[in-house]
Amino acid sequence: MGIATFALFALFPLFANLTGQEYYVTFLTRVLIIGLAAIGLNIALGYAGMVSFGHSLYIGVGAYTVAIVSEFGISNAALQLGIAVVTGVTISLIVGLVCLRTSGVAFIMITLAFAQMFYYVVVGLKQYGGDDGMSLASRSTLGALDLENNNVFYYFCLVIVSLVIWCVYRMSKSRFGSVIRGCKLNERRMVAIGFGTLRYKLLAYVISAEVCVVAGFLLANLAKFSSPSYLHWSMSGELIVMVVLGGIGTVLGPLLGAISLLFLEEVLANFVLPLPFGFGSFIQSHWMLLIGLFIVIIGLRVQHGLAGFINRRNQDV
Amino acid sequence: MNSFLEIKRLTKRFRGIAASDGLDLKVTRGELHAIIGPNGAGKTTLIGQLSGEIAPDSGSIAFDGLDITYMPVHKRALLGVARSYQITSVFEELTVLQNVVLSVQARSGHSFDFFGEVAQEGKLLEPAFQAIEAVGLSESMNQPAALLAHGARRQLELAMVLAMSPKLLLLDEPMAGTSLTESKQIVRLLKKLRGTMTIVLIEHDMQAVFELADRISVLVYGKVIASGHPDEIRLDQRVIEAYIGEEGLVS
Amino acid sequence: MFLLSAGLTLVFGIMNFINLAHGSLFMMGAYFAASAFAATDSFSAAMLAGVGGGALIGVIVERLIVAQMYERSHLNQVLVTFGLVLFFNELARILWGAASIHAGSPKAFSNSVEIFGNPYPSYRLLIIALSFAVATGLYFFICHTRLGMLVRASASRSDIASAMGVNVVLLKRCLFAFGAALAGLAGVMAGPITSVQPGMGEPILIMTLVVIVTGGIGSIRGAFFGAMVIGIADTVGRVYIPMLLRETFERSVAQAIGPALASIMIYLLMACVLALRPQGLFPVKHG
Repeated sequence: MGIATFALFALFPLFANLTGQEYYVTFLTRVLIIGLAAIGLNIALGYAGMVSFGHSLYIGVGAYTVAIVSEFGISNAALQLGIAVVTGVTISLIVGLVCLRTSGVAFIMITLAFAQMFYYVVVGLKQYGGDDGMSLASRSTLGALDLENNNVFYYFCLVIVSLVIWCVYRMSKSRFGSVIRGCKLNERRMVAIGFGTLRYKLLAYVISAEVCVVAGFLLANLAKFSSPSYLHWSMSGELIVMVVLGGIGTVLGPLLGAISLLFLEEVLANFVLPLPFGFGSFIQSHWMLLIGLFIVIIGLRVQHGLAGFINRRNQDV
Repeated sequence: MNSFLEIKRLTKRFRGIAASDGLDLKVTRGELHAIIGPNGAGKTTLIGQLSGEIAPDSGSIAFDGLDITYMPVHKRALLGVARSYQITSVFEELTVLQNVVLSVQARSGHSFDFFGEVAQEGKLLEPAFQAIEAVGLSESMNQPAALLAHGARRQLELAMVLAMSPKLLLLDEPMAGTSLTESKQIVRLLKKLRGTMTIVLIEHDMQAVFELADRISVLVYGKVIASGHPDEIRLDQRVIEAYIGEEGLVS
Repeated sequence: MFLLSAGLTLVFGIMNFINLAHGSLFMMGAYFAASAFAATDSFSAAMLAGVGGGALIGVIVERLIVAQMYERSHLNQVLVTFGLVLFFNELARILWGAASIHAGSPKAFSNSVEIFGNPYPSYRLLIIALSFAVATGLYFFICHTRLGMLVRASASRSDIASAMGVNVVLLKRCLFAFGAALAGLAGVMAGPITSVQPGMGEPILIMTLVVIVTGGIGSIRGAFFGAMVIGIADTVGRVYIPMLLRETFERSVAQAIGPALASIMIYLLMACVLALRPQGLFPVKHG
């Protein structure tokens, strides 16, 4: 199934360019990037069982590092990314250490609180755009690659996302994967067996955060814009929705979830559905209402998500 | 006689009630030491303090000469203290094999490996196979733990502690809720293990206790009121008094 | 702020249910009150509308959705209530428009009172008095009445409480509704001094979370003292930090990081508390 998805993604831009729908290349790039963030969250949430409502923080770290650093004249992608990752590791280590002293409900709330804190920090930084966000003059440079070209940038993102997916796949079968899975299933037993669970959970958290940092880096590049809205808690919430919808603890799940949610939002917001009584246009201007309900239903009903559903189908066949 | 496990004046209070009240106990290396006592005597609290999940208010616990009174649980596990749970606590969604492999993995070097494949690691699989076979679960090796019958779950619980290559085995009512055949199997297994490791066994099944134990300690209201050879205990007046109303002691 | 925290800690700690939509209840309370006031020009009517409306929505939500969620994982609870927040925010936008509306304050309290030589709006005094009243009332209720004991019993062992004949379901329903009413009340009182607009619930909610976590989940005392501590820290932070910065660094730096630092004071405080005492300042003791 992974190969099929990859092929689809790889061929899409050709199709889009041929039919003159270039906007959708950018749209799909955005889907890929947000999907990447969801995959990152899944490492902490799906595999290790840490429900973090604050991962939007790390998207913000990635995005703002790029924006701020390019203000200072550094535009090399590798350098920018390097700085972003280092910042991300520092922050996630500290935040992770504090948050992991709690569990359950408290953990969720604290991750949310920290993300909010950084949101306020960013909004308060007036010379870096504050509330309005800041724009980048150009995308990062990476040797011969012309990232300003939307198609090239699309493939760049696709390669990165595929690489991360492959790594997650390997991780899930590795020793580390089995340890954090154990922590999620029965941490008490893990400790009794002899695992120092804190260090593994912390590492999972940091890795998860770094993937989001990369996503933030790409996001800022895509829109050539970095805004506090990337750190808003609703972004964290949407990431969680994508992970659950797509399938917790599965490799491709979060990406599927991202595709579904973003497509749904795009359709609802931009197309007037042919419904009677003017429902169509009502929905179009207030689509958030439906999304809210959709999310409620997901929370109520979804057990294994889309990926789980597909896996079951394959097993029955 | 050099005590392998020495507990001195262990005290633990919960809201004014002493679950452990100046408890003294000595366990020698290689023996199977059973702890019996009426319900509420504080047996599980004692095991909790031995395994490290409960921190005592005062007193000391020495393991093989080392003071482990306040040592964290996972460090004790790595030293060789393995505890089984009265209420089975396993990894429900994983198979029997995967459960036991995790036990082995904990002491098999670090687990910061991201690219190997656990399912292929012979180093982990071999000891796991052995432990599973020792408890008699080889047929159900690839079944998810959640689908096992109660008796099989108790066996899995045992396999997991065995896979830890323990020096000190803390068994909290391993035969709770098992059928006659299953408990006989566990008794057979424990007889085989006797001597290769030190075992502290909490049990209510008196027949098994008298069959297995090298020495017995009787716990009442957080204190050890008698400790010695099974024959002595059987005839001890205090013990008989403590058990008035409980059947099975005079066998 | 305390009102919200109390309601929230009730729901969280005692029912172990995480309700992000609590902020939405707050918002709806404010909206209902504002509309009622605009229509009737009476603050008592506004209060009735706000509290009643909040409780009513709470009951409806509980019946329809929350009741199924008690047993589910926290993750699902978060999802569901998150969806609800989005839903309610949009609903508010539909019903009242995206701009903020005016909420009138009671005429009887629109003057200032002299405290230590500084004029202090009497309306805020009313809020403080009300919070105290609710706090003492709650404390009394939980710790000294039979019903309060039932609540605490259901919290720690609902299976035993159930076996003893307590209608745990009904109790939870009432608790939730009461928590919602408190949120509505908080919304009513906050309306006149903050802007009533869609999404007003969330920043307050997050602050409430900080209060609860710092004070200790599930404890009323924690909520009360937590609110005080956080409130003071926040005010102090906002007022003094910029001043301090201006004195030690040059103007431009102070301008740049002052506001940012001030707003994150409370989070830093929370982080420190957690680092030292993960269960909060006044944790509920579990037997």
